[in-house]
Parts: sequence; structure tokens; C-alpha cells
Amino acid sequence: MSTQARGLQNFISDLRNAKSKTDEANRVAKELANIRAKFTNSQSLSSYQKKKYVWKLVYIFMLGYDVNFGHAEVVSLVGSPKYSEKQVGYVAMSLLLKAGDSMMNLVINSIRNDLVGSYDDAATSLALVSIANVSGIELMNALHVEVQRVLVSPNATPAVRKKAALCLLRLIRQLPDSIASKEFAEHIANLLQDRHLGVLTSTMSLLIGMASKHEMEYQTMIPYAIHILSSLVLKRACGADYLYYRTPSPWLQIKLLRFLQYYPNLMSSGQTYVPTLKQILARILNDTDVSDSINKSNADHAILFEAISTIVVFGDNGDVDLQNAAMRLLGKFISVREPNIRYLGLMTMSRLATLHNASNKEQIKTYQSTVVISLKDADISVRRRALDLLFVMCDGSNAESIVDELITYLVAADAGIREQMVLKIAVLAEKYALSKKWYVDTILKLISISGDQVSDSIWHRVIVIVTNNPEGDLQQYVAQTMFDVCSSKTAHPKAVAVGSYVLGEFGFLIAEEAGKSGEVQFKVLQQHWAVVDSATQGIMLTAFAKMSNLYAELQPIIAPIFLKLKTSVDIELQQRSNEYRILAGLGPDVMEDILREMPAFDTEKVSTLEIALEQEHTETHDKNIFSKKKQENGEGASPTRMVGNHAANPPPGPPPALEPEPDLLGGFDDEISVVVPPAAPPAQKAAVGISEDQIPGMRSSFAKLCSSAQGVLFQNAYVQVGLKSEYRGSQGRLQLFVGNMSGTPFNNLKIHIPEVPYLRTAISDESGPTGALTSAGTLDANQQKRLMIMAEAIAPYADVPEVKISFETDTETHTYPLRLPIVTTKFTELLTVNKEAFMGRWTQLAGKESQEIVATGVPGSPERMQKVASLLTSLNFGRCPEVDNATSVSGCGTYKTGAKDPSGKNISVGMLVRIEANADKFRVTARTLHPTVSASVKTIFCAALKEI
Amino acid sequence: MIKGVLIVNNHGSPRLTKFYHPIPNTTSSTSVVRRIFNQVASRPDSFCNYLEGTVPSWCGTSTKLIYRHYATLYFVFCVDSQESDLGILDLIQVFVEALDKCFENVCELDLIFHSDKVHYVLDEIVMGGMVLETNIVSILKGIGEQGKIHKQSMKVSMGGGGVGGGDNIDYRR
Repeated sequence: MSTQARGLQNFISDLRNAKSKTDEANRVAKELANIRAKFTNSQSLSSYQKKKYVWKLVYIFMLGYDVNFGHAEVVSLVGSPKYSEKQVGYVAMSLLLKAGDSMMNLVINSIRNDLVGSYDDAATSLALVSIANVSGIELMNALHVEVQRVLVSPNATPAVRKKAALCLLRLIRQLPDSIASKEFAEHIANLLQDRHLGVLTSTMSLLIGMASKHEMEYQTMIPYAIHILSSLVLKRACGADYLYYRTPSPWLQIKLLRFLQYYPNLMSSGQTYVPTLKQILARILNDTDVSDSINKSNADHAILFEAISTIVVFGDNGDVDLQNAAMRLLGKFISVREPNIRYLGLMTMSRLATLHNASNKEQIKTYQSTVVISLKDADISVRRRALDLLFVMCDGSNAESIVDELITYLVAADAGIREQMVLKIAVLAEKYALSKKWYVDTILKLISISGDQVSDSIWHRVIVIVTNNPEGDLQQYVAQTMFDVCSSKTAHPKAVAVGSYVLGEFGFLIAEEAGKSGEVQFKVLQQHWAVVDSATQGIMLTAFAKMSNLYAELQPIIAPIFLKLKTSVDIELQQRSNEYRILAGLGPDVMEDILREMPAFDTEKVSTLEIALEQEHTETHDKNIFSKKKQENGEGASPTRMVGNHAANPPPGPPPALEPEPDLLGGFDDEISVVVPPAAPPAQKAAVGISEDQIPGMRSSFAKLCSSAQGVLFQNAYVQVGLKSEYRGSQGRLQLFVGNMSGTPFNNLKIHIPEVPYLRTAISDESGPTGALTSAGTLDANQQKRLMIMAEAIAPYADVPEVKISFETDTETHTYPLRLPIVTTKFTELLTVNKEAFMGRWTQLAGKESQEIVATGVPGSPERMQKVASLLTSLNFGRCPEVDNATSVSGCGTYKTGAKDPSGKNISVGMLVRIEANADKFRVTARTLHPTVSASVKTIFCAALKEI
Repeated sequence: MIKGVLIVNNHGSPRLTKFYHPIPNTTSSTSVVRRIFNQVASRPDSFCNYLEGTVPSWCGTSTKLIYRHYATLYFVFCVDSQESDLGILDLIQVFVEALDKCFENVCELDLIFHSDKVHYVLDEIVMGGMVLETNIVSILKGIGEQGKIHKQSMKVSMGGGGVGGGDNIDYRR
């Protein structure tokens, strides 16, 4: 068998003897120069030398040096007729080359020859392995037909067949539609009757991959799977080679059980195999013992855990006895010393808890104290699982004790787990709070114990809840508490931020009490000025402004502060202090009006915190059975007891990210063709709005405004609405012009922008900022009103914000709900990348695409492609021409938001888009990390393409 | 799927790296290896063999490291949540036993000086991030056959045999 060349061994020895990193780098540089020289005249190299140099390159590459110049030589080895060279070529290729490398195209033909025209199995095997290892769209597109042919060929040996099965699996993960499922089920059935356990294992992997996408088509495979399982488990029929520490092929058993989990209603189907399956599961559950050989024990427990997962998935459709037995076993596992078993026990139990099953949950709750012990384990992996389990087992009945337990532990917890704990405690405290005071206290404890990990969204949530619950004495209580907390010199800066907001808003509720007068409150806050960051200082300034409005005695103290800060280097502080300073000169009425208490917040459907948690979702190729379950059952949709007065707050359903793609323009017709009649005016005036024949024109102008900075949004005989916009990163500044074309004055003109959860908006008109996002007034004939809108993106969205314009003339009332072209691509910065980077990302995001075909009715031409390309640019995407041919246009952009991630950086989402033309149709494919962003980008492009 | 397989020694030097989930061009493979090693090596052997450690620049945040520590070497498999956790531990054991059979008492030096063979063995066990074969006899047979064809196709054959010395990997825990 092959051994490496002497020269290579010497080289490796040299590197091992290198005294320093520089020494090593010098030796490598010398060797690379040598190899490069040899390769420039590679005809003269012997077979032995070629292989030697390629292996050297592989070794050098592993050490982290660039060896791209050698790719050509690797490719030529792959094409060599000699097996020894071919083998080295293939291994090196799958290590050195990546999907999307330019050399890949050169090698496809060699691979195809080995795959179908080959003289022996060895070459076919090499080809199959390398296709799977390198993967990549171009390889898959070129060769998927051949791979299928090899798999179903009657002449293929088991060794080739098992490789072909896995190769095909890798392929369908990339090109899910390359196989017709219906016909393919037959082939799979044939493969499942193979006697070779290696072939069976690979086939099961393939079957799981297929069934995860098309469950129904592969339902007929269930009897085969149960048959194989029964011979392995009940009859222990297995060749000696496939016994792993005396257990019949554990991997195959695991795969078979995993496949059955895609059919949760199996046990209640009444089929003839149900008793056998029950017997199998019971056997696995009862006959697994702890063995003294760790490997034997591992293998058996691997099967056992899979069987338990299967029972978990069957849930109430399954057998009650099995369920109880599984629960008892898990209860045992989470208390054993062996860390692996405990870890897996905790993990499996969390899965059990996420399924909607009341009796399970009650049983799990009895293990609370056992789980808490694992929360204090030395091993962070175990701790994380324990935390996760406590989180999912929490409900109204045990929330208080679990949260207390978590808080106690938080004091001692290390940095690795704190952030996650804080977020989870905050979610639990909100979701299951018995009283709002308890909730606020809990968050304050979090801040005092672990303030650095408390993200802004956590404490913003406190403010929202306190502001929105004016009834009872909550606001007073919180003001009281925050006063006490901030009285301490060592209060955490986050607590000071909350305190500043709360005392600014609700401080007056406690000002009558002894020792808590406005002046004292002011001093309590001011003592922290020097140690808090500028964002908190900004909140403090607002609190000061509100205080100086309420308490006349504070005015002489606070005015100099504003005066001093009007030259602050921090632009935000400078602006605030200037504004507040001038405000004081505008007279008490204006001040009263502006510094009044904040109105209640529009609350989002789902707490932003829960969304943050959900975003830690797992990415897998085969659909994850448990995450699927979670959505179907609406887990996490348990009624939120907390937010009592939020009439507009339905139970938090799945977060927006998981909702079906909302249509950007789809609902357009319904929404605007309905003329919203205004509330019955005193004299019966005729209602006027958008007429039906204007809708196509409006859609077109909307689409145009999506790709340009200014234009007319709407126009009829009475009114003209224009828009001018300017965007930078996550922020946009828009000017909305409403012109009166009717010849009579508009009375009671209202321009209202309803708040949306994904944008932070503020509007102002000539007289300054307007409250509640509404501007009201009158507009004389032939006059124009101008409104400034500031918008900042804070979350992914596929919806469109709206502006409602309504006014009255002497005889009519007008209402115009218009869509504002503040869409995802506006907050986009163009990105230019090279071909490799683009293809790399493109492949990575294969599972997260959104695609649609638009028919335009205009035949394709090079000029049209030119227009598509310029459309791409005007939607702020950077082109990547290297990946395009004559009928495609591709590009990248970054969607910027003002939302912060836990480390304080702004969150942005990279976006890829590809438009392929075919006759009069365009196919638009958008791939981004976030499904909503993908959907949104796709829709915007589709709408815009209809207009070119 | 299995996103990557690493063998790293106690000092963090890579002895084999194979990535089934490509590393983006903006990230260097050595930094990925280093990050994984640092996370794994800081754990005592008494801890469990799982670490939800992550290398976000390579494959997102949901990768789990499943590893075993034998004498001077760490064998680390980076997997997603769809693999059986204990199944992967068994697979590492199969990998090590297959290497042991190939080299007759495998030690770190064998892996260094015969990295080609280590790759051939791995290719018989894991393919494109998926478990290919778990039966040691079958794995060795596959390698043996390849070896034969390899030799036949070469005019000159080279000296062979394992390099002795060094700590053997004691896998019979």
C-alpha cells in the first residue's frame, strides 16, 4: 500500500524541526518556489514526482498557506489514466478545490468519464466520493443524471452503490427538484431489499433526505424499514462484520428509527406492522443495559435515545406504556454521573417538553430539582442543556420558582452562559409573570446582577410595559423602586437608563413623598452623569427637560446644563440640549404640550426578546422534526398572561420570521380599492377616494419609486402626492409633498403614518416634530404641504408602511391610504464581490431562497438585459458580472438595520439576487440568511421587472 | 451532516483537516482549526464529549463539536443537529480502530508521515459529510483493494511500513 515519498517525509521533518513560525514560513516559501518551478515544466516530471509535489501542497495547505497555483496540476492528475495518479488527484482535489473555483469546469469531463465510461469500480468510487465532497452547483448540474444511473444500475457492486446513494443525497440537498420523487420511490424500495448492510445504511440516509421533503411519496417505505428493524432488533440477524461491540449495526438502527419519526401518526394507523413496531420499541427500551465497555454502552444508548425520540414524536398517537417507560428512563438519565448520558438525557427531555402534551409536561415538571443540580455542573455543555430544559418546562405554575432558581445561579454563572441566561430569564419573567411588579423586580435584579448582559431590548420592554399599564399603582411602584435603585452611587448604568426614563415620566407620582421631591430626584440621577454612556446621558437630558417643566425650582439648575452641553462633541447631546434650551423660551403652553407624558406604545405581537431567542434556530439540511413540531403546535403561543391591557396583543404566535411570505403588492388591490368612508361627518358629505382605474398606475409609480429617489406617488384631480428620499445605511430621510390641486381649500387635513414594528419613524412638519406620527392642519388651494419623515429599519420585513391622507372640502370628504415605497432595498448598500465569494455564499444559502417567475409579455433582448442590470444598480445591488451569462444578471447587497446584536453591533443581512431571462419571462431568485428578507427582495424585484 | 473532521494534537497542530462545509474565502482554515482546538482543549476529559462550540465565520451558530481525546490527539467531528450524538462518538471510535489496524498500533507520527493513508481511511468512512461505512472489515477491504490497484498502476513501488515510536493511541477505553 502506498506510503509517502522520502522527499515529502524529509520536508515534513524539516518543518517539524523549525524553531519558529518564521523559520517554518521560510522553509515553506522555499519549497513552494521549488514546486512552482517544477510545475512550469510538468511534462518532464515523473509520475512519482508529480504525486510527491501534490502531497507536499496538501500538507502545506493544511498548515494554512496558499497553494492555488497547484490546482492545475491536481486537475491533470484527476484526468490521468493511471489509477495511482488519479487517486492522488481526487483526494487532493477534494481537499484543495472548492465549489466555484474556476478549475472546477475543467475537471467535470474527467469525472464524468470515470463515472460512466470507467474500466473499474475503483475509479467510479473515486468520482462519486469527490462529487459528494466538493459538491457545488456546477458539478451537481452536470452530473446528477449519471449519478442516478450508477445508483440504479443492476451491475453496480455494493461498494459503488452505497457511494452513489450518498452522492445522490448530497445532490438533492443542493438541487431538491432534480429527482422525480414518485418514480424514485420504486428504486429506493429495490435498494431496501439489498442484503448488504452498508448499502442499506446509505440508502436510509438517502431516504431520510427525500422523506424530509416529500413525506407522502415515501410512506410506502415504512413496512420495509420496520421489517429491517425487526430483523436487527428482534432476531439480531446481522453479519459478524456489522456487529459493533456486539450490537447489530447501531447506525442502521438509528437511521431506521429516524425515518419513522417523519410519520408521527404511524402508531394509530391501524396497519399490520404496528404491533411489530411496538414490540421493537419495547425491546429497545427494556433490554438496554449499562455495560462496562464504554463503546458498547455508547452504541446501545445511541439506539435507545433514538427510540425514545421516536416515542416522543409519536406522542399521544403512540402507546401510553411506552411513553411512560421512556419518561422513566429519561428521569434516570438526567441524574446519572456519566456526563454524555446526562447531557443527552437533558436534551431529549427538552424535546419532549416542547411537544404539546400536558401529561408529559406535568411529569417533566417533577424533575425540576434534578435539573437544577445539572445547572450547577462544572461542564458548560451540561449546564446549557439544563438551562434549556428549565426554560421549556416553565409555565405559569412553576415560573416563579424557576426564575428564582435561575437568578440565584446567575450570580455564580460564568460569562459563557450569562448572556443566554439573562435573555431566557427576561422572556420567562414576561411570559409567565403573576404580577407586573414581580416582572419589573425580576428585570431589575437581572440588571443589578448581570447588567452588562442585559441588552437594550430587555430594558426597553420594561419601559413599554410600564408605560402601557397606567392602571393600578404600577407606575408609582416602579418610580419608587427606580428612585431607590438610583440613589445608590454604584447603580449599574443600565439601571440609571431605566431610572432616568421612569423618573422623567412618572417621577411626579412620588414627588409628594418626603425626601423624594423633584429636586432630590434630579440629584439622584445627576450623580451618575459622569459614568454613564452618551445614550443614557441623552435619556437623562430628556428627563431633566421634563423635570424642569414640572418643578419651577429646578429651572435655574437645569438651564445651565443645557447651555453647557450645546457645544458638546456628542452630536445627539448637542442637539437635545439645544432643542430643550430653546423649548424653554417658547412659552409654557408649547412646553406642556411637548413634554407631556409619552402615549402608550404600540406593542408588537411578539416580544422582541422571544424573536431574539428564536433566531438561535438550528440550520440543518434534512427538516428538523422537532423544530417542525414546534411550529405546528404553535408552541410558544401559550397565552401571555403578562400584558394585561394589550387589547391589540394576541398570544404571540410564531415570530414573523416564520410566517408565510407576506406579499408586498398582492394585497394591494383589496386594500386600496376599498374607499374607507370617514366617520360620519355632521353634514352628509360625499366620500371620495381612490378609484379602481387608478390602481394599475399607482402600482407602477410605486414600483418606480422603489428604484428611484423621487417622483409622484399619487395624483388625481384634487391632490398630488410626491416623494423625495435620501437613504444612508439603515436610515432614510424622506420628504412627502401633498399638493392641493382642487381650487378649494382642504380643511381638517390629516396625514397619518401608522407605526409599524419594523421601522422606527418620526415625522415633522413646518412647525416641528409632530406627535403620534400625525400631522394635522389646513391647506389652501394651490398650496403645498411638506412633511419630513425619518425612518430607520430595525427588523426584517416584507410589508410596506403606509401613509393615510384625509381631508374635507365643502362638499366632500377624501381618504387616500397610500403605500410608502420604504422597502427593504432602500436600506441596502451595494456590495461588489468576486465570483468565488458570490458562488460560495450562493451555495451556502441554497436552502434560504425565495423564487418567482414573472411574465412580462415583452420579448427578451440584449437591451432589456441592459435595463435589468441598471435596475439592479438602482435597487442598490452591486453586480457580479463574472457569474453571469447573456441571459442572467446577479448581484449582492447588504440590508442595514439600526437594531443591535448582543455585542452592540448593528445587525445587517447580506443579500444575493439572480435574475434569469427566458423569452418574455424572468426568474427572480433571492437568497439571504433571513426568509423574510429573501421574500421581500424577491417581491421588490418582481414588481420592478414588470415596469422595465 | 458532518461539516468537518479534524485531528489535532495536544499542542494544537493539525494532523488532518477535512471540511465538508466549505470555508468561505474570507476566513482562513487555520483560524477555524485554532478556534475549535481552543474550545475543545480547555475541557477536562471528565466532561462530556459534546460542546456546542461554534465557529460562526465558518458554519453559523448551530454546529456541535463531538470529540474524543486519545493520548496525544483530539479527534473532532463538527456536526449539525441532525446527526445522532452517540452515533458520531461511535464513528470516531471506528475511525481510530481502522487507523490502528492500518498502521498496527497507530501513533501520532504515523498520521504525520502517512497523511495520504489517513485520508484514504477517512474517505472510506465519511463521504461528503455523510456516514459511508461503519464496518471495519469493509473499510479495510476497501483500502486494501485501492492499495492493490494503486500499486499495480505504478511502475516503481516505494518502501512502506509504519514509522515506529511515539505514544500509541490507546483507544480501548
